[in-house]
Amino acid sequence: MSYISIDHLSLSYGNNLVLKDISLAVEKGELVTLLGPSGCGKSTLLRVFAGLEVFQKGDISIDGEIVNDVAPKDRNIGMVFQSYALFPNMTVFDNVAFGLTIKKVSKKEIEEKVMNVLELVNLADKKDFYIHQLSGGQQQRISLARSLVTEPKFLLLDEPLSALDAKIRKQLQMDIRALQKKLGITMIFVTHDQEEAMILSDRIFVMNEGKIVQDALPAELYEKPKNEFVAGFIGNYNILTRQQKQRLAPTFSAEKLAEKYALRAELIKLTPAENTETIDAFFENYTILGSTIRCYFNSGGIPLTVDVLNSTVDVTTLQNQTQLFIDYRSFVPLQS
Amino acid sequence: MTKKKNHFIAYSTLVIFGLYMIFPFISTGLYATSTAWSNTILPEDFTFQWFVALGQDPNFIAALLRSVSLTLITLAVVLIIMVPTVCLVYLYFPKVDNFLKGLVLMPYAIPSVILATGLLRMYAGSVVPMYAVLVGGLFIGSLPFMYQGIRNSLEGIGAKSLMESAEILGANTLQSFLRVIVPNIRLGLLITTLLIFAGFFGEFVLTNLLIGGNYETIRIYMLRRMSENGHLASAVMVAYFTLLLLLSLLITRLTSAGKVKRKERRSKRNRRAVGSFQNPSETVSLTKQ
Repeated sequence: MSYISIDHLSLSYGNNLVLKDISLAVEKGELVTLLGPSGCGKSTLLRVFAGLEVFQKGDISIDGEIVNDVAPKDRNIGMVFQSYALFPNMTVFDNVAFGLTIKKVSKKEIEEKVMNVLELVNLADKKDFYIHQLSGGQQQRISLARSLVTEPKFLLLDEPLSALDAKIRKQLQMDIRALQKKLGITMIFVTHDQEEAMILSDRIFVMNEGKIVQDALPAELYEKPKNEFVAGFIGNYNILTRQQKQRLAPTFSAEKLAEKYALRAELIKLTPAENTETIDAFFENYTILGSTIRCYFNSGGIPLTVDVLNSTVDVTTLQNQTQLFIDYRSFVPLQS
Repeated sequence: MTKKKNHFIAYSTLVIFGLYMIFPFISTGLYATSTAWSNTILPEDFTFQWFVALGQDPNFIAALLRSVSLTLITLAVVLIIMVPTVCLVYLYFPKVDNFLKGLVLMPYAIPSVILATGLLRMYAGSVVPMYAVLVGGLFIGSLPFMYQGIRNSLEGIGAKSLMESAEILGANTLQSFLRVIVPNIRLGLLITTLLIFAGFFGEFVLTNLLIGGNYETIRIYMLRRMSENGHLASAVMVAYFTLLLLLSLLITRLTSAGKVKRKERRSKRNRRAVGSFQNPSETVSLTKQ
């Protein structure tokens, strides 16, 4: 039996069905991500774990116990909000200590635990500061500390990094992952950023329109997107119809026939390689993304995006490129 | 040059506005401290006799006490009933909130005279004392300020997330409300309280029509004395404004000053101890050992 599981859960607001027959399981010590575009139901699902949403059908169990009707305060979980939700009237120390004071832990123990967790997030020297005196990144670390100090069964993180600038976001991503591994705590992380999901997760649940459309390991998700939505959301794929695929790779027949195929941009080569076939194409444009260059080609009316390493190509010669090279096995059939 | 010009215009506007606001107070003050002021720029003499007369009038003190007690009782009723109600509605009943947002504007549409007439027809001769009816009427009149004031404060602090966050940390609804929500909306509450306090203290129509005959408040007293003597009326006005100012300061002090100042002092002391917080260790790893 999984540590946390949701079984055939449906939730609606009036006539609006927000979560549609969701089933998922999370193992102890895992960091899983709920990934999807805005409005796909990922935050609602997270709030279901917390007990903050009332659902109509299904069951949710934590550590072998069905908790459908257990109030949020009795679930012993932690939650980090996008808006931090720190208490402005309290100091950093009082914010972190709040959960422990509610549980009537002794003063000495509170002092010890709070200082330990503040050390963990490197903010022990800010213990007497008020929240408005801290930067966004520091506030989110306090929020994390406040959730961890009560030693919750698992931690829910609702887009905790989306309000931070890129540099601090990247740093906190690494920090959260390191912290999770160090403490061995189970975490459920919500994000709309596929890169963030890839960096952080043991497993990713991709959601769309209230359903889980794919549940996979990050590498698997990237290499074998299940359908057009996942392919479009996860990476920079070329999505081709069956006819287009046939024109590009007439001799290739996939194991399963599909109406659409995905072809990763970096698997189309500018030079021949092992097992590659040649296709004619002409160069249209390019964009420098940093370490990679995104090139736009056209092969008989089929637009193709090709990603190449910046260091391996001279952009001035791209105009002369008239052929591309594809390993036919790179085509991923997509479910409709 | 342009910048200087702009400043000059800004300051001039401010000075004109200030004079416009303060001039009536100064002239009322001067008139209240003189016995003759007709064809000179400043009064011909200076006296406190009107204030002394006012202080010696038992009706003035009684009216003052009635106004203060009526205001404080109504304020207490409003705060005790409205604060939890608005919080509950805002946090848990969004549909009711939408309805109430419109409904609380209704008192604006009902002139006090109509409200008083309606209340008199309904309650005159009933078992409900008119004093209670007046408190109820004033309560209704304060709804637009009170509801919107508290609601805006709740919205401003992100009350929903704060409540949820407190509940997830193990607090029950009452604990979350008292320990997290109330302290954070205190400033908004204070401003709203001062607004309706001034409104209640200066209320005339409803009080006069409902219980004015046998319950003379300061405003009713003022009206009565104004027709007797202009200098005395000015003294009443000055006393009224001074009192309002003192009571407002008292409320401000009681509801905010002590605690906030203590906390700020403690915070400043700590900041000095650990150095500037402008130097955050943002990029230092969380798990740096």
